[in-house]
Amino acid sequence: MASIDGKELLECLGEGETPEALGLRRTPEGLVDLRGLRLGKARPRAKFRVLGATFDYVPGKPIFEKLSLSHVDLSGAQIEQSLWVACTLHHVRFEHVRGAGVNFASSGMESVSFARADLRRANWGEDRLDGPLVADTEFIDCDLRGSMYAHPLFRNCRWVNCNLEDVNFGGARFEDCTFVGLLNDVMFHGRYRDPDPRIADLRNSMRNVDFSRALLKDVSFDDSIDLMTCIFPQDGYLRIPRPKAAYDRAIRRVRDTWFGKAKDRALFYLEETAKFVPEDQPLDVVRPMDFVEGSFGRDLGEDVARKLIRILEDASRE
Amino acid sequence: MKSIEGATTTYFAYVGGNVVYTRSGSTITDYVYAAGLLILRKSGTAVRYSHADHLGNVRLVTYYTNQVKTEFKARYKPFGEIVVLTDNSAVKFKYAGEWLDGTGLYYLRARYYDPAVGRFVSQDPVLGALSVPQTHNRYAYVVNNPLKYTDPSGEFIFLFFLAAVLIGATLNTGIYAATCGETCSAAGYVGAFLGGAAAGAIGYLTAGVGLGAAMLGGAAANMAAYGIEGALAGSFSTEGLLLARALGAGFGALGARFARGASRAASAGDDLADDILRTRTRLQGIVDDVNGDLGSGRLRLTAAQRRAGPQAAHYGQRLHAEVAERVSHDPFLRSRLTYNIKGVDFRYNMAKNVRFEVTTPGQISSHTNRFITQGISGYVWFITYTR
Repeated sequence: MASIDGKELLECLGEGETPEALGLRRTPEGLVDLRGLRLGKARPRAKFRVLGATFDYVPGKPIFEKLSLSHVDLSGAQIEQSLWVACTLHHVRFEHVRGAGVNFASSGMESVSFARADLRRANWGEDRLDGPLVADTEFIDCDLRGSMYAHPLFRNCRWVNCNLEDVNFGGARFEDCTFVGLLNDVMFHGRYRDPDPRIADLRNSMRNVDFSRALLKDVSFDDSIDLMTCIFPQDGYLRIPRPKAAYDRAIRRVRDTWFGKAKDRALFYLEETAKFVPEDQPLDVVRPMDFVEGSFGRDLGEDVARKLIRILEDASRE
Repeated sequence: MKSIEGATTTYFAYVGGNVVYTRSGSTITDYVYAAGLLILRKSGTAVRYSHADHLGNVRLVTYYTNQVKTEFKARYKPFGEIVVLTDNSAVKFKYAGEWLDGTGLYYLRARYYDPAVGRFVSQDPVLGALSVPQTHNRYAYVVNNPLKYTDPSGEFIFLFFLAAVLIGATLNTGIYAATCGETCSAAGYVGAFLGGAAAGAIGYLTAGVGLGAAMLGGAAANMAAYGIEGALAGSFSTEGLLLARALGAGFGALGARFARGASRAASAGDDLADDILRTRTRLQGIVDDVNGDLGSGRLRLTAAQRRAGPQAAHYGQRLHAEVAERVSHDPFLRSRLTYNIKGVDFRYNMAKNVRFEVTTPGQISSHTNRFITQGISGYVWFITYTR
């Protein structure tokens, strides 16, 4: 498919043209065949350097507004850096898609499938917006490192064996979702900052989120998140009820009985964690082996790591 | 040329618009340029190297004594306000590579420029064009577009005007030379030159009124010049007058077209530069927010980072991620900015040379904050602007 036509083709289809009028065929599954679609790349006109990171000023990046795509196969498409505003995607397949930096902003999704897709630094949601709704959508073997989330609502979605390293789910909300495979250094929040206080107060219910087949390595649950209906693996995790009080007890214990570098490190961890766990958060879940396997255990020794785990276990029981 | 500041008199020698020699008391300094930019300053045996950005702003001056050392380091706001990081009074050439007087004003040959207000202290000697409204503010610096232009002569917009005038004058003189035959005379050449110049000038200056006015003005100017020339040389003819009218109208139209082209080019540049400025301002707001969150302890670290301890590396990574995240969620910035992961400079993630006076975690954070704050403010203003 010629790269020059990609954006225009997608716009025509999304604005109501029939696939036949555009000369498009259908895949054996009956989806409109836009496999391998390519969008032109805009040229950066300036660069901003912030703290050593670079932002390219690209005023002409591909932008799609209010498109409605239904039963479309965009497998193998190149949609990097494209911006999708107020679009609706229904039954769209994004297999092997090259979508680094794609921004789905306020675009809703239903029955969308991302498989083996490059979605690094992809974005869902925007400031001051409740939503969009992403329903019945699956992410399988996708690279989602650095992906970003304002306040999308994920309902009945699945993440299976995705690379979620260092992902901050921000204001994302989850209902009846499933995570399978490794979650490494991932952050979930109960509520999340936003310029609009009404949006910042939106609660992530985490209703029936299933982590039972996931490995939660260095995962944090903060900001009044309610994990009571979540399903965690049977073994290997420490459940800490009323975590604010428990962390405060652990801090006192460490402050009174520890000393030196180990004390500083342990206090830093406990205080940084307690800072974002308010009184109304009913539960926190921690994987004790994170202390042993990570830099804490490597730097201070396994004995110190296990000592801190015992303190946390005691504090969670009191 | 000389300047007197207190008891110090400095003499200057220029080649074109560039100062190549100064003498202040017994101190003689030579200046060397390459491609129009100052590259070094030499006083006696001491050599200082200037490093400028794309607009000629001198950002760094270095010298070498066993190792490279910094004599002067600065950042500039768009209209030239300076943020000096390492100062040295011997460095005089700063914003746009121009000489900063002891008065705090830049000497731009025809006029002095005040970077504090982004305006010249006196009016442009040339009137603005109707077609380029920005030029009617005769105190404005480079039609308020300092990210794109500099004004080495203090008469920036005059260059557009001059081009329109010279085109008219040259063409009219050429046509006169080709058609005057036996009646050619010195007065005829002068008249043709002045008539063409006047037609071009009037066309340029009246382009905003309309093409008809520009042509009419150009025709009138050239006819008047022809009439004077004819009276002086005694070679007046009706055919000549009609030809002068036609040519004058043509040059008037040419001048008007030139003015409109210049206006469009300036507007396009203005729009882009304005948008870049707005983008930068917005980005700066986000960086300030993130920095504020860091300073007040609201910046969340990941669980692994909390366990790894209070090192600048982790704050740096989180700051990157936070800024990128907020840019992605911002409806204004998301359509303009792309986080370029390939361009990430990891110096801030490997700040092993930063020493902390560690006694309590609180103190550790405050030291980290200061370091990172300086890092942000030092880099957010660094913009590479390409056309």
